[in-house]
Amino acid sequence: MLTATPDNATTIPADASRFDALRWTLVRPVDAASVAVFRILFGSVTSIGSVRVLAKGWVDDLYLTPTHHVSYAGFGWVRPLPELLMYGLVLMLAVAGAFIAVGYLYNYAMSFFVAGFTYIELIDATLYLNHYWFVSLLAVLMLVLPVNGYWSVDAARGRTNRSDSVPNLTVVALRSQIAVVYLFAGLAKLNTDWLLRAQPMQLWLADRAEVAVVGPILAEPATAFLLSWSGALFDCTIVGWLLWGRSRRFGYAAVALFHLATGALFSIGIFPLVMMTATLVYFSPDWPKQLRRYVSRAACWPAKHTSPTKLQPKPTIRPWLAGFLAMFALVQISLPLRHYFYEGNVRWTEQGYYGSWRVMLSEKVGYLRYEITDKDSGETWTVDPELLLTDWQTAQVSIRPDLIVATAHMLRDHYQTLGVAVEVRANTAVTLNAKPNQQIVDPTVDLTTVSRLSSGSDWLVKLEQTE
Amino acid sequence: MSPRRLLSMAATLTAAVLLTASCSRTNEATRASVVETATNDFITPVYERLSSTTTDLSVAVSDFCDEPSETTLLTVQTGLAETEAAWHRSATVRIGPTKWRRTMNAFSTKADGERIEALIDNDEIAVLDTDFIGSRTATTQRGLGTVRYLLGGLEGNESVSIDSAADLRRCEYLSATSDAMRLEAVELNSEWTESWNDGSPYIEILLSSDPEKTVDELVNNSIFVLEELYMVRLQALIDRDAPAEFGGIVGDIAFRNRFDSVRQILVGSDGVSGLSGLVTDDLAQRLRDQTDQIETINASISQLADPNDSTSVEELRLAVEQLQITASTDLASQLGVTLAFSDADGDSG
Repeated sequence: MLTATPDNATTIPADASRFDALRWTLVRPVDAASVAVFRILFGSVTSIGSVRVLAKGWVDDLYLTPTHHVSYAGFGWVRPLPELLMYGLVLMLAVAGAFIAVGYLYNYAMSFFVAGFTYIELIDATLYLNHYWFVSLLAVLMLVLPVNGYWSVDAARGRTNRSDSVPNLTVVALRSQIAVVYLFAGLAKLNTDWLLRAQPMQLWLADRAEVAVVGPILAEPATAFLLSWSGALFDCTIVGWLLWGRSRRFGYAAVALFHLATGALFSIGIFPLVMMTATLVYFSPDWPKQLRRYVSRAACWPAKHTSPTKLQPKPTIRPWLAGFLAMFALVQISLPLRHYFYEGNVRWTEQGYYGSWRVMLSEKVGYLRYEITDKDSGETWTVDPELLLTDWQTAQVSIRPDLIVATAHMLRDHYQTLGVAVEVRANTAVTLNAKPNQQIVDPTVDLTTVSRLSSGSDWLVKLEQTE
Repeated sequence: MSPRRLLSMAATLTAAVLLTASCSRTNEATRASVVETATNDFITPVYERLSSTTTDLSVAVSDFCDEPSETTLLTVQTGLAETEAAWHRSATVRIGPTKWRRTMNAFSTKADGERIEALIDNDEIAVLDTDFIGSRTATTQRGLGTVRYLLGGLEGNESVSIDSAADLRRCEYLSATSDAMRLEAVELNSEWTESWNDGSPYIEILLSSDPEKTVDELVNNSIFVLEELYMVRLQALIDRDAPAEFGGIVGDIAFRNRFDSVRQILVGSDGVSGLSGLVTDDLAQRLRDQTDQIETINASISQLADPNDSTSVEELRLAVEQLQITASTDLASQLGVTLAFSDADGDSG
């Protein structure tokens, strides 16, 4: 068990070793207010997000209407629930979000949220969104970290130990998760498309040329370059600005400006809200109390005497939690780097794409038709993927090689049920960041013989204009 | 240097760059100007033409029924071909009132011979008038396909018995069907050019609406028409299971005019306007080359249904597919039509 030593110390001993210093840094008690607000905002945003899914009719459109779903490799067994249960699940996620926010039956609510949200995300790979992956990861962290001991109904009712402080590791873990997103998103932007061609920014901004007042400016190539470079600079350095006390307020202002601007310009749903609320955790752990005092003074409210937070002198972190967080961190660093084990440009092949924080980095549009060959008669015919998929599923499948293979397997199974053994080949064309379209999958390869997890060397076509 | 000073310098630099950028902007085509050109040069004439051809057809049918002869029948056949051409030419611009009125039902190209004959033989229906045909029949019992059927079959190239075509009951049917199309086309044209929903003409509404949405719709319609030409018509011809309406004269009229509808939207009548004005020079040139290639191949095919032309039909099919690929990938990408973020960092709401 990691403990803060020596007992009752609030500062690190001068003669402590580096390991002890690190250990002390991680277990030393810090004010719990910041993580409590983090929990409140997380629960609120996820609850709003779930209500939004219901309000927009996405349960029906995205999960119930499609007759087929394109699964993640190894998760073909995940299927949507019947209609009533599916709606009930999303409704319960909204309720769970509210419970998380107020800290009521927190462990049950968060466990339900992690299981329910992850289940929904696993139903269809064409619906993969980086920010939903981010929400899943935060939810897992918040399930194991002590974020419910303060400003929560459970603590007030004695269902959990009320604690004014949390081990610093709690704050560090949440900050690190956010840092991973920004840093890998920033590193991914250091490519020639982004920096030297200002693509896909030019494409996106040109699309806004007729926005009132700023439209003509947005459509200028110079603007695209400016925003591309500043976007990369922002992602690569923002964690540093947020960690440095002197620049933190400016850093957060930049975060707010950046996410408000991207939210206004692009259709990115709740992502700006998620990031703007999450990054508040970079402020001092007692920032909510400081803010309350500041507002009280500014509004000339009668000063309410609050005794200074008594920080637990000897916070502990259980070994299993330390081990879990170490493994979690390892996975977080490995996932975005795994594409180096595959050949080719990850933005083209998308091998190693999921969970790698390649955020707003590519504009890909594809064309896809399958050539079906009856193995017995040799007869060949052409099939539109919309035979099995909806138009929005097809739009995603046609640009992602592993989903092209997955759909080929679905077509094989479809014809198998009709008693026809078939070979399936794909006629593809994909454009990446305004480059001329080209094939992405070898049209001569029978995709029924290809594994989704294979290296791709024998069925993927390399990007011709490589960096 | 303090963060405040850094921020101030960055803001000044940004303002300077944006100011320079805004001052140096050249007068390039915009979505609004492309929509305006398409509306004035293509959409408006298309619906005016549809209105005039259906009126001519209706008059020709009336003349034929009054005085059946080879001459009057030929006028009817010519009028029908011109109406078919006008209708197919509207393929990519069936937006606004055309979509909401479901005009495609009035101009259906499909015909169900059995149901048409049953209607003719039905003694309980005393008069086959415009109102009855226009509102109480199935789409396979009215429209272009039905007129073609009543004139001697869908191919339209069989010898027509003037006497049988001019049979009183058939003529009544023919007149009512033609007139129903005329009424629809005239009202439609009026909504486009005079008043829609008792307000401004739809042309004005279109020109004042968000050009991005209109461009999206035009691109999607063009891709849809190319898909239909490729998948349904040409593939069906190659597979030799083409319904009659896809081959011969009717198929030829349909192909030429539907393709021309796509061409007008992509590169305009002059080859340099249309949506090509909104994309890179390279892509604009590719769109021109590919549309020219399709026209050249199609011009070399006398009859799409001719089995001897199967090689050309295959060549044409591949050329159409290439244009479809270009439109649904490069064009859609450069115009931001399909998905705002293909790496799915947004949600479609």
